[in-house]
Amino acid sequence: MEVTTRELWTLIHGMGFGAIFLLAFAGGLAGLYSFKPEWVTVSGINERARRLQIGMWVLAAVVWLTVITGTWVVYPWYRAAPPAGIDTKVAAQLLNYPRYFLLASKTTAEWHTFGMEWKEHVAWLAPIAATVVAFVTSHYGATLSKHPQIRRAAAIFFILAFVAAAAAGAFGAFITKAAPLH
Amino acid sequence: MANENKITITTKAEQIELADVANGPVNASFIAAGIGAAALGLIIPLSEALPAFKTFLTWDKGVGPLSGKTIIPTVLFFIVWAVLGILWKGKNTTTRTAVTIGLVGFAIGLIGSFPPVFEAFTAK
Repeated sequence: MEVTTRELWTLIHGMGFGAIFLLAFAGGLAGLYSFKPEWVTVSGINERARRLQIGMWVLAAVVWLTVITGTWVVYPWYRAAPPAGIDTKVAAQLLNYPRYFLLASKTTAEWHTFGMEWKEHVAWLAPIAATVVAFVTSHYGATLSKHPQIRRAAAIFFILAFVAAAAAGAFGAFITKAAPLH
Repeated sequence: MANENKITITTKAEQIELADVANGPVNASFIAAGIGAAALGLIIPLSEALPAFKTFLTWDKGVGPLSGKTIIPTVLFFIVWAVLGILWKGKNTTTRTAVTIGLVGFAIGLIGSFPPVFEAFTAK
């Protein structure tokens, strides 16, 4: 049993950073939604504000790390062109070149032309939205509980971050299954 | 026989006074996010329509044009946020307008990054 460097980075990118954000999303959204003065005590409101700030900044950092490792570490291996002499129409010769492996067959081509093409772009919306949410929580602190309009806006941006990350994450999982990086 | 024991729960009624903060920097972040997202949604179809632009966006050989396509919106997001954040520090602006700009920008970003949409612009 062994894990190659490429497999390890794919794991760090998807099952590490990416999964942390997707799994923690529900907790973050619940935290934003329930941050109402009528639902917490004074000591509770300060603790909740601090927890939201730390949680949202950690999630923002994690989603930045997800897209940075995905684009700058894993993606170049995915899109690397095979050397001269390898027939790009023969899938069996392209196992180390996932992009070309997928494109070699009509039955798998759409994992690249739709799946990867969507994933590689839409994912970058997630860290932008998540950073805004983190900033909102630290700028307002405990007073965020008295600003329902801002809290609603932050929740919408947080959901947008999740939608972008979930689309990218789902296709990442499918593509890795169809054409794993070795 | 049913258990008729009852429990009384009393919660604390307290008050706290906190200094409110101006919304300018937060509204700046909503607008900056919208501009960054919209930039992503516009750069992608544009790079499909203009092969020379796509080549220009290839700032890293390994990553290809995706390098430029993602760095430009990200940098734009931080620059717009910094500029508006400085200009609006300590000031109150209209949140509804800022959020609307942010959400319209994200709509452009989501639409422009969807393959059937940007591939419709691919130069033949």
